[in-house]
Amino acid sequence: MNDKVEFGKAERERYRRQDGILGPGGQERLKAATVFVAGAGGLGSAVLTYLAAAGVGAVRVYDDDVVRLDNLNRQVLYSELDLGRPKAVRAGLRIRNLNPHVRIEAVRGRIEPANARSLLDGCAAAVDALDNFETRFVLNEAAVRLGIPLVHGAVSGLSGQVLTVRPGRTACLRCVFPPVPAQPGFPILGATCGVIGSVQAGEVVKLLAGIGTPAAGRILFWDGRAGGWDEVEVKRNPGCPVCGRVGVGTEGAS
Amino acid sequence: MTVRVRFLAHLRTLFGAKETEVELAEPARVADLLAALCDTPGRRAEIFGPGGALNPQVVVMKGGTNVLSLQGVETPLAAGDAIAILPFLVGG
Repeated sequence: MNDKVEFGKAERERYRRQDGILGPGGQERLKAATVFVAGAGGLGSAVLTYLAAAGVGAVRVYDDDVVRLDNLNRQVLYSELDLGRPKAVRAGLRIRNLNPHVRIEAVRGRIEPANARSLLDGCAAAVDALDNFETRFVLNEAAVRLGIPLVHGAVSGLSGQVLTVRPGRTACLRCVFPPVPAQPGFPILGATCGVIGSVQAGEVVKLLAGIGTPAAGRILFWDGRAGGWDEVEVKRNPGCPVCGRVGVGTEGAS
Repeated sequence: MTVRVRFLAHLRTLFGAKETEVELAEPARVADLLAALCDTPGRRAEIFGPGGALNPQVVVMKGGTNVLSLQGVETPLAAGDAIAILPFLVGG
């Protein structure tokens, strides 16, 4: 697959400062990959920006919402000119301007059990930049069934967390978080989204390039109030209704 | 027996510690641990919801497993267990 990936002069210059970080063939592996990004809000703004800047081949961004004024404290892909416009579409335009070499598939829509697997089809990784666990569980189940690694992020106030799911190998979201009642709106500082979304983008780049150690089997927890990171070990749940019967070897090509 | 408890984020401020060790009479359950920890109305209000169930905005992990995936607050504890108590974050 990688031998079909070629870079023009401008692309080589664009990624020059990443040389040596992604390993031999790493930039090619990024370009060969499609990444699904669920949600183009606070987390999605950082995730999409850094994935596009890093040179991921294609991003498939899905969001059901339109831009509102109270999004602009954190959703830095948008400006007042975007108010009332679909986030997915506006996000696609922004990142196309940032890096025209990235193929953008931007769709305004909901992720549901009926469409989740087809949305993820052909993707090398998926990013959870959602704002509710109901949809997170739908995304998680589709990613696990397809063997696609999933990078989860969530935020509130000055805190945030990241967990990478390697299907069949490490805990999935459903192993860790049982179904809970829907939560009301959350207070959030934009900088917290920037911290967590940036770590998520870094996780995706690592997975695609095949470098480093994923934040799998452990929640990375950012405590912005105190200014520090913690880790919380998370184990697979043998009785997990999603991944309990999915074993090692079912993960995709990553 | 002694169990080790780690608090994250604002729970550190509420409980006045990053980490603590709690001595419990055997046999002990998660409910006994939380009762021992929640010695003020503010702490009780943060950890427990209406009816004495765990507040859904708090996650209690025992050795890498959410206690809600075990037996909830009835989950038995053993000497040396490592507990982490953290906020449940949903936003994006």
